[in-house]
Amino acid sequence: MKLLLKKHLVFLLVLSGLLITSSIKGQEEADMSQYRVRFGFTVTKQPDNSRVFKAEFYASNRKNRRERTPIYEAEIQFLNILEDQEIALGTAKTNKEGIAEVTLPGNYKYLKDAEGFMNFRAYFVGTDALDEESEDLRIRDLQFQLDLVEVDSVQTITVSAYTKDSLGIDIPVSDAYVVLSVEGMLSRMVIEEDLVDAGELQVEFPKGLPGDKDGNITVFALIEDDDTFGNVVAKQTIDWGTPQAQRIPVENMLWSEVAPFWMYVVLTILLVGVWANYAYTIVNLLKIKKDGKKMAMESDD
Amino acid sequence: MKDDKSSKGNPDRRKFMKLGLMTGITGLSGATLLSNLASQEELQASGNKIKLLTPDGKVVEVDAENINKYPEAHITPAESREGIPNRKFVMVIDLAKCNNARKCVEGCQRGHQLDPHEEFMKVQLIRDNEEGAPYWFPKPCFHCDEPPCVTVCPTGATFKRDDGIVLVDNDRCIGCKFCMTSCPYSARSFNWGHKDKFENTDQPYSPETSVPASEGTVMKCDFCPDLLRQGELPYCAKECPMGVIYFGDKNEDLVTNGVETLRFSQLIKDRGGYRYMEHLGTKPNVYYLPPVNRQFPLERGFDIDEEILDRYKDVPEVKEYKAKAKK
Amino acid sequence: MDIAKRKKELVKEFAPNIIHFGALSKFWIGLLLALILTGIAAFIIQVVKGHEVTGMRDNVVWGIYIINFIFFVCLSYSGAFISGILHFLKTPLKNSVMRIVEIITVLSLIIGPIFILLCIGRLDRLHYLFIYPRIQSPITWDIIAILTDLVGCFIYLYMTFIPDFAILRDNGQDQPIWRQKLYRFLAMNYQDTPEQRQRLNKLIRTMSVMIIVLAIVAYSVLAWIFSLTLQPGWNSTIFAPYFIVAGLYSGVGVIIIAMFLVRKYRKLDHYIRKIHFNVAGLVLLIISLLYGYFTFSEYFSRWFSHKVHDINLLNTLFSRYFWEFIFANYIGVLVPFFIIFFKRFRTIKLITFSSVVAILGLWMNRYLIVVPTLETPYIPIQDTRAEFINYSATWIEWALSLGGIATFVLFFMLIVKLVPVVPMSGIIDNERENNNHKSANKIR
Repeated sequence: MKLLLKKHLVFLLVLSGLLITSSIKGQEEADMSQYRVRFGFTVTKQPDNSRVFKAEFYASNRKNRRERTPIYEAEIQFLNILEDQEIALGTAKTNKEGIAEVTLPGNYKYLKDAEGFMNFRAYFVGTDALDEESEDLRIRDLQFQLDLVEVDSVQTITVSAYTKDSLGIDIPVSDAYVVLSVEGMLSRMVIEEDLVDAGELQVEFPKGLPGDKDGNITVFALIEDDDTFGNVVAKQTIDWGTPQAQRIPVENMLWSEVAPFWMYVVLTILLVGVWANYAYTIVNLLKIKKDGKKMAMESDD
Repeated sequence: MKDDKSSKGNPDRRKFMKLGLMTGITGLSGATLLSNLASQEELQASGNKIKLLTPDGKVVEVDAENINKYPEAHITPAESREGIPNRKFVMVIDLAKCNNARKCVEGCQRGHQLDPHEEFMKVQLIRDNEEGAPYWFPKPCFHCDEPPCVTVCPTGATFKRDDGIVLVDNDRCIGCKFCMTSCPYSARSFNWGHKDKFENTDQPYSPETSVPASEGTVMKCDFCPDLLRQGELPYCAKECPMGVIYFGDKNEDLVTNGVETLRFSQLIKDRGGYRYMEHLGTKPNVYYLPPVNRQFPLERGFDIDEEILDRYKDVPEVKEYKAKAKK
Repeated sequence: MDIAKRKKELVKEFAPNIIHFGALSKFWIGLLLALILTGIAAFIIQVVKGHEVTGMRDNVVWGIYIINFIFFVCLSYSGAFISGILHFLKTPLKNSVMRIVEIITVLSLIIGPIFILLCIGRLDRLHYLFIYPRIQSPITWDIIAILTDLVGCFIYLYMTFIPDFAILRDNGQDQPIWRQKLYRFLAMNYQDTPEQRQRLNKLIRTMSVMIIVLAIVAYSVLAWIFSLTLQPGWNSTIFAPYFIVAGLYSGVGVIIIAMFLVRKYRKLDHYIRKIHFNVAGLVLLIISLLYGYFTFSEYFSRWFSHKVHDINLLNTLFSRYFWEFIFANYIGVLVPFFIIFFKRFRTIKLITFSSVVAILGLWMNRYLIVVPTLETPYIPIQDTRAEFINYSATWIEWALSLGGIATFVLFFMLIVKLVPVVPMSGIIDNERENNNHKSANKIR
């Protein structure tokens, strides 16, 4: 396969060498041997139970690993697989960050195998230049709940995680790693991370966190990259934060748009004083002129 | 190959189709964009390109400008005077972690399309006294709460917003440079050249995004309000590989360097955070964590362009290093 | 009438005279015009190529343009100040120098602000100063002060001219019609009656007080542009009075030089006499002491308290700017002082020479206030580009500076030729008073 790719590449390089004289200047053939193509696939169950299927597709430079080149406009298919059944969940093209995403509503019925697992696949057909890519995930549906209650006047975060067996009976989960965080404008701050024990995790809510103007604050519980559950997110908003003081309107400062009051007063006094004097002078000059006119007329007489 | 029958009669089918349609449209618009991008000759070469790979193995260079195009988020000059509601931005720079990788400078220059020598973020090599060891000192605009630059502006071209950001409206600036002389931190620079540097005129002017400054006006670090509006970190904080630069909203009391998020007040308390030249009374919104228990030797920062290293040639350590390098 | 006859004589003596240009003045006018044209060429280059052609960069954002601006504006304020005081004190000596002072005042107040315009990046947006004014900015104060002062000085200058216009009108029958009409208009029916004279004198006296006050305010505002910032070399409480004293120093110096030139080239030895130089010299002496005292006080307190950034500035001043510092603050103060202090050196030529030294020293002092301060900011400059570290003015800036000075000199020359450089009415007033007192010695 690799050999084939190389052959293709050589051919393409020659071809592009011939074509380079024509107008397609901006598009040059990439030397794919320099790159290692990466294909990642995650499924996230969101707080509203909808699922996000996300594929990340990029090429990393072999020499400089930090140099990432996203693969753009690649069509990714997302599939739900059960034995020989393949159900298309949707297709999406990668964006400029190399990410393709499809979201399915919470009540979508996926195919499950006998053990209750769902098989998902992200699939890229492949082109002359790029290999076919495929990633599979085997995930179990997790009932993941976040409760914020005061227990003995202690603000407590309770996470419960359980699965349902084929009969619909809750089975508590014991080894899922949960990250609890509060939401900020730019990021989430981790409060606690721990394993769920017998389907439950209890953590005291930290004191003194600022909320919005009503004290509202959003708490997140996250399971990430779990072998059994994939990504699961739960969130809850509650008024446990310190209410943010309402912004006091800016006083008249030196740097504000409107100056301190006394500056207007002083400036006005100075200007009125000076310009009144000018006006007085000009009025008097005109009086001199008038007198002179009278005198000139008298002397003419 | 595919079996669609199980989805028949599924109540979610319509919704699913809707979603599929939407992704399809995005894909379509993406395709037109690409074909536009591909005809490179029609594009102005701005020098700020990002590289992408197409599925057929072609490298496309896309103008960084086109990446950061958010026409729906155009902020008018009047709106940009208001600021982002209920925010009070603050930056914390951890001097113990800085090794002069200069990624903050470069990221900022790329993001703001600055020329190589124009730096909104400067990395100084500071030595507090003769005995003190020099340390790397990244210096953005401090976005002071008592900004002397704003006070002296005769036209209100530079202003302080409710969210704490001090911004310049280059359409208002007359270029008197009074703000530059009154800034004690040398945070401002002037466009001395003749050509307008901000050439993207197909969008209406916005003080938040239209940098660098047009001819004969003043510019400076702006805390990247355009990125903040999208919930992203400023370029410098985003690019720093050491996580030196924390940024956040003081009202939330949270700052993040992209990796970890911390309580701002706790961080300042625990690590002895301070503001540079507090005695001037400008009340900066940039805090520093002292360079104690440093994670890198100073020399780590010497691995830079000769020309840039020359900036610090008066510092003894650099002198020694250069002398050694000559041998 | 004796007075009417005397007026005729005076008109003959001081009649505007542009036909007679000697070879020397032709040469000078040619030279000045050449300098002005060079300045205009430099200005065009600066407009076309942008401010990159100047030596100003991000650290030293203000260069010799602003130094010339301060210099000329201070010159104007001190002219106003001196002329206000002269009028107020009613000294008999004042008449001969009065008009020279007023011409310098108005001229420099017109030329000075041109220099500040040269260092503004966007001249096309100048009107924003009036559309979006912010009264917290010292620049706004300065604009208000300069405009107010300019109007005041014009009114003042005009008022002192009225009696002379009347004399020219009454004795100008041999002049061309347009000029007669102009005199008639400008003289405002002034008939030199006692009531009119009294009223006008009262107005001039009030205005002279106003002009003194305005000058002090305007000086302070100019100084505050620097001293209200946080810069180590500028943030000083004594800057406002320091600027007043320094301005007066240069003002008196320029007046002495102007007196010397006018006396020499308009042959007015009879009016501008040794005693004028002596008195002006003594004023210069007193001001040199004050100026030296302020300079010493300013640098001494910086050195004694030795804050880090002050010391950095002083180190720069005493290393890179050593000779400039010596020239500005030692030679510029001590040489004029010693020349005038000793009676035997107090000749017209030496007094004029000491004025030249004083003016050059003062200009350099201004340079040392502006440039080294900007070269030693709080956060040390770490740059590799020489022009960003140190300032040196380019030929464009020098050409524009010389052009500005040449414009000043040229206009002064032409105005001195066009108007009675010694107020005729003043001469008559003096003579009339002397006759009344039947006093034997004539003092003008």
